[in-house]
Amino acid sequence: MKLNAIYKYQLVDHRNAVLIFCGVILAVMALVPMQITFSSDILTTNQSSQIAGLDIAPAVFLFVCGLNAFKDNFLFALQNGISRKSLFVNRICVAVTLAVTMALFSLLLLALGKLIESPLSGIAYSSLLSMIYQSPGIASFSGLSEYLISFLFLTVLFIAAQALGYLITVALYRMNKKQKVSYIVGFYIVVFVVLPIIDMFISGQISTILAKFLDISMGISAHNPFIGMFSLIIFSIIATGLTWVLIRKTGVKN
Amino acid sequence: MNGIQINDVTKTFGDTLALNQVSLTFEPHKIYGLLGRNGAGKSTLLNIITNRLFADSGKITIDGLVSVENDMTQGLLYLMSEKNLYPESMTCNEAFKWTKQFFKDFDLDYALNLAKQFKLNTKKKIRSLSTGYTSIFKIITALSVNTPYVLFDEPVLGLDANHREMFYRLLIEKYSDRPFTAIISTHLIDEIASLLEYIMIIKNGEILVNESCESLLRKGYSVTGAIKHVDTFIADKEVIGEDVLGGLKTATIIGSINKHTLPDGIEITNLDLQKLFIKLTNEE
Repeated sequence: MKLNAIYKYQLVDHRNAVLIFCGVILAVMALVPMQITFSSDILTTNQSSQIAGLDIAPAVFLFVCGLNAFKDNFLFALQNGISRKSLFVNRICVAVTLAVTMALFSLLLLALGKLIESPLSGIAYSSLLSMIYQSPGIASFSGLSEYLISFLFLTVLFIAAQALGYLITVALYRMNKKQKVSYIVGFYIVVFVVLPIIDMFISGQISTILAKFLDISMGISAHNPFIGMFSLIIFSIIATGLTWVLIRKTGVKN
Repeated sequence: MNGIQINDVTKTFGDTLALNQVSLTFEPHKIYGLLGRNGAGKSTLLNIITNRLFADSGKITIDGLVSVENDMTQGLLYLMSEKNLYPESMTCNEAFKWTKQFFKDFDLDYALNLAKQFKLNTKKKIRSLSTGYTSIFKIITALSVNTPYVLFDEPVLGLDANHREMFYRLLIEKYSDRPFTAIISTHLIDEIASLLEYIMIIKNGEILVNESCESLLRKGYSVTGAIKHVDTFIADKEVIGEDVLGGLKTATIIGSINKHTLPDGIEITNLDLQKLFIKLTNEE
């Protein structure tokens, strides 16, 4: 009963945010054909309007959800006699539930996108999956396989996004004020100042290595989303493992 | 039922030793007073029992089962803490409903009835409650939760005298209707003294006193009378506190007395627990 309650509580915690997000995205989707209908320029000049990678928005949204999912829930769980282990296990279940829900929502967007996509309307819709993995000129993702692979890829991507957000928020909770400030400031200085400067002096070797790493780990050049899924699963496992290491001895802070 | 057993629990915060090899037992269906000066280690002990903090060493069992990270044993406890662990954007009504989800014996009707008695607006968000009403909200939850062990950490913080009286009355009523173990940590010793069956005093992370209220009160007595008479009477006794009001003096004395040998003009009353506490916990 209690375990069911903590799952339900964590899920309900995201309900309003999820509904608002879905409403906004659907409104954006609805605005595109409306804008084209009312824009005489596009109709007369045969310009096209492209909706691309809209399903990256749920990934960002779920990352933010992950960032906001720890402190209040942790304290509330302890107040109600829930162990850290149960909270954590149920958090994983909630993350999977949210990932599946948002992946299904993205499929709905894909279906809507396909529905409004036509040369006549001047709208082109491309999913994140086809943007990353589609080979130019080859229709490797189409029909049911596109939906199925998209669903799997987005579910894994959304789990990874939440795992990263949750890891960051748990790590920040464990730190004191000084540590928090130094880590956040340090991160921005290293990533946005130090690394670009070093990269500039060594003829972009760092960015090349990073791009290559991203390419190989996500299977972009290989046009294989399953490599990407595998890497994202490994990333999620590592992030979740680290999160557990941080949570298991966390106490209530004064 | 074995109660809450604490064996050799030690906890440090950096260089500060908060609890030093504390061993205690809280038996079922008794009301305990956990007393100590600020920073003595009372809240730390309660937080360790309820899994909010981890002890450096030692073991705690609840009804014979290990308490650390155990949902089953933690379900037998409820800690009304000084610190608010409820989401501040939650309304009191929502908090009651969620508590019912976590504690199957939580009595929602009783909680709403208490809220009416205390004039707590349950539609209000927890963050908008005053300090006193935040304590009232937590008191109501703790009294309605119906777990075998309820721990109160500074329950009357910010409460006016009327609300404090109400809390003490409701606690006794609840205890009479459905006995449970209550552990009350407070600084208002005089007010709570009549409720307590057992007293535990913590000083610098160590248990100084662990005995029944009755036997503790038998350790001494108070005498009241004219200043001159009282001064003569206490001359050869261990006095732990004196109060003068007009021409009357009250002295608190450690030791026993034969009531028949009491001089005329002097009245004897029970030991003042607060005076004893001050004496015992004084650093000198």
